[in-house]
Amino acid sequence: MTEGVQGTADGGVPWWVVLPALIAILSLAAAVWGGLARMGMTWPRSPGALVLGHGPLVANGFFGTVISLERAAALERAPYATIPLATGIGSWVVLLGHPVAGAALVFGASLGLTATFVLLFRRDPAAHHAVMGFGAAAWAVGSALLLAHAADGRPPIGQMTPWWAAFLVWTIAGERLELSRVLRPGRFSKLLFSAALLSVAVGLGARTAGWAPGARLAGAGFLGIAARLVVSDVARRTAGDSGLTGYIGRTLIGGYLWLGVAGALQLSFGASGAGMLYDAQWHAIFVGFVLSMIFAHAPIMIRSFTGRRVDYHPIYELSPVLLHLSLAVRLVADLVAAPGWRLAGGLGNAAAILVFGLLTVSFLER
Amino acid sequence: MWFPFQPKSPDEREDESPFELDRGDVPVRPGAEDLGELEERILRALCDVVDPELGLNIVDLGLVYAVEATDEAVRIAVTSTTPACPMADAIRRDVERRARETAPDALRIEFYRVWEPAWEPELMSADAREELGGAGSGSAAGGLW
Repeated sequence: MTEGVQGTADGGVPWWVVLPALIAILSLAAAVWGGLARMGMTWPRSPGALVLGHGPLVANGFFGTVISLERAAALERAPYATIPLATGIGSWVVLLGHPVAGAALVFGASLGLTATFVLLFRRDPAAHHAVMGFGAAAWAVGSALLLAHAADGRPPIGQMTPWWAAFLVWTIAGERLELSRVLRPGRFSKLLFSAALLSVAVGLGARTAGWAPGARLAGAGFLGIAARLVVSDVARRTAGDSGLTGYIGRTLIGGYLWLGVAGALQLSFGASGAGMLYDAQWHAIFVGFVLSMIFAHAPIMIRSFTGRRVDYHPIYELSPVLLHLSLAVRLVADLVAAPGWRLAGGLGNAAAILVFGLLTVSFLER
Repeated sequence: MWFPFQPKSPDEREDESPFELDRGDVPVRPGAEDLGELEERILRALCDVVDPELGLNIVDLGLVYAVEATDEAVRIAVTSTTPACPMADAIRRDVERRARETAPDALRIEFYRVWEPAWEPELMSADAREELGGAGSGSAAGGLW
């Protein structure tokens, strides 16, 4: 087990964990900078590539790297780290002016992650493996679109974003499924969940094929997944606990609610082009839902990667609180078309991420 | 399907354990008849080892499959709820630490990760199931779900 990543005996973290992790953090910082520029922040002046490439950098450079790194670490075999390395490096290759090569790396990574889940499913045909496998396949669809349009110069990000969102939502849903086995969910709960997941798949597929109302079906699916998570996930029972457990539960519930908001916005308004409604519909997922998951699980994942505890103090709650408040400001601003307030909300999102990073480092056991 | 690097199988993740465990042997509960006094104390000490996601300790979760204290060593067999549990090593270290604190005179603390018999929610204690709301009518054993 000394080769294992989980806090090796000599306290070292393997290079194939450290390197993708650093790329992911760098990608997040660059993506936030580009995102703020898109919302109107003019200083510090962001390079054009970061402004245009914000979406793919978030989806592939940050989230794709983090999720595939988590899986590689869990499998405890260094070769699986080629997947997060490929997507992390590929994302930057795109930014540095080689869109086709970079997109090919990202696409390859997404295929690798899909194949990983096929293998895991064959070994252990459990629902959570299937759900996470479909998540990886959704990433592959988004990456295929990116690659297909890499030489165009103006890839249709709006077509890809829903698939990236499906990647993240299904992956997280699969992980929660695995955990919620302890609750022994009944048949009805499982059927509802399956229906919601399927709605997202069918809706997105239909939309990409040209049937616009598919976006509403996908939205209904996201809403259903959120409802099931709020009602049936372990987090509902642990949210009232003290200490780290309560923090995790509360932060997760907050994230689930944002997924519900995203689903409701998509169901109500349908597909949207780039603009403030689009900002609301998708950042409720990428910022509200997914970042909440990261805030909630960072202490556990850091302990898993490095063996070091992240001690819980009540002030740690500041990060999700800041995130929720600033996102609420941002989304309301989107819906009433107030760009100044939207930027304020976005700056608050960035502050929440920064506070989270600082607090995590300061509470990291020496 | 051919793929160059197969994920580790449960066998590769298992430690060679001296225990032969049947479904009826597990988990170990405090107050069990065949537990010696030191073993009982160790088991109670393991109630401090908590899964932070669930807010439940590993004894209540039914993850402690065997505790044996002899003159030579303290041997503890523990499983996980899932093969790729991110907390697995952390729990191992916590178990070893609590065991060492409870039995400072023991020559060796031996931790064994085992996968047989497979864990299922029914192994949780009544307390744990009540904490989680006694939810659900379904069984997690077998099948796709």
